[in-house]
Amino acid sequence: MIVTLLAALALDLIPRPWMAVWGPEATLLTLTFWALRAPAWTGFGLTLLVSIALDVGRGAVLGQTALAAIWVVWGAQKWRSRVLWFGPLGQAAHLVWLWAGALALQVAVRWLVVGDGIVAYGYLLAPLWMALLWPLWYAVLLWPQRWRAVMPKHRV
Amino acid sequence: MTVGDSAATPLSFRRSLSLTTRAWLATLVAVAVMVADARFDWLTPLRDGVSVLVRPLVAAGQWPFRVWEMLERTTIDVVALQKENAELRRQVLTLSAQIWEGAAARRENDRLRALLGFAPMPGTRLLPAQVLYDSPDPFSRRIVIDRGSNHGIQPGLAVAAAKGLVGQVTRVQPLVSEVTLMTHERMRIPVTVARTGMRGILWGRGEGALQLRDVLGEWSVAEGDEVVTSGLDGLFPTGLPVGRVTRVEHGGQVEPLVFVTPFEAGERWRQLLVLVRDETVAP
Repeated sequence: MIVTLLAALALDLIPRPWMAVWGPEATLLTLTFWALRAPAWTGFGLTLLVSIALDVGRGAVLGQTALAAIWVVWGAQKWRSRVLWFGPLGQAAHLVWLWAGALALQVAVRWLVVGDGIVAYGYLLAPLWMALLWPLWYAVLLWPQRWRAVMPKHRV
Repeated sequence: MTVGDSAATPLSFRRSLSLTTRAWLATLVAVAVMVADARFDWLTPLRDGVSVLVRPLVAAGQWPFRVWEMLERTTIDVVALQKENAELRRQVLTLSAQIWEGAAARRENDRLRALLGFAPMPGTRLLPAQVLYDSPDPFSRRIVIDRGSNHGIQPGLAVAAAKGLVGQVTRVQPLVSEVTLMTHERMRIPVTVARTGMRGILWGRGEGALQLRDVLGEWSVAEGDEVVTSGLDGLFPTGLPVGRVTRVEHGGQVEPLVFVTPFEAGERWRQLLVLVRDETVAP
């Protein structure tokens, strides 16, 4: 889990001028995956730590990513039984609303608390891209567990 | 074992706060962190510490781009390189002539100031910096450069490119600094209209636009006028080119609406210059 979160952080910190703000949030996708698959290990403390590291790397106000991530993790844990009943595409259709709501909350709270308005409206497209990317993300993150499941029994 | 003895209660039967309560508590922490950082700037030590830890991740993320740049350099077209070389030689000659003229004007200016008993103008040195990346933060127009407090950078310094002002250093970490572009809504730059000497404040308006406001005295500005820094804030050097007046609207308002297009509006810089005051240059 830690390795995948660090890799997601590195992905989010890649300079991407062609999709500066509206690109998918790899860290949020990875936190969502682990909140669904390993809720006992994906607490709000870990979410806060990872989000603050992302804010520092991006030069953003500390805590703004955490605000969105906390409620994504909350939603994923709350509705994990229902979401996991679907395949990756069905999951994406559920999760896109969660991501959109969390990002909207982040924008609203930052506007109310800090007074900053959003300057890059393309950011609001990020949940859509995340939903499109979710099946691939889910398959990649699940792959080591599938690999372990098919390992010969004599290997520990 | 007694009822309520938490130490003896099996782990699976212990009750903790509900998921929603914990989410609200974490939200409170996040909002408190936001306020402490954005409003009071209390978390600078935390940011500095975490930035050093995050730096390897940023470097790892940039590694493919560095490799790509290296490959591009090794496979560059020789003919294009020769053309670029010739153009650069021509520019060097032109700039050399301008430097001689500038140095002569500077000496004359210093002599005249000494005759009049004025204090000498503070010197400025140029510190080259590489743009690491544009901040993907949707709330800001910032870029991150590879020079920090370890290199003598301080908050407030002006950052320029070849044609003029780009922005201002607004946050400094040990290894990197953040530069807020002058088009950011919160940026205010004291400027002078070069042709008439009219002074005012340039307000960032986002989306690559600037507006001239808060003019002292009578308005005297026309389309095509060049706008330079006035240096009255003590942060920016005097006379640094900022932009050109592209639109003046006299729409019945008390003050005309004057719009300025920055000279450096591409937002695709790779190298920039930080204008470091002499006393802040690292030894």
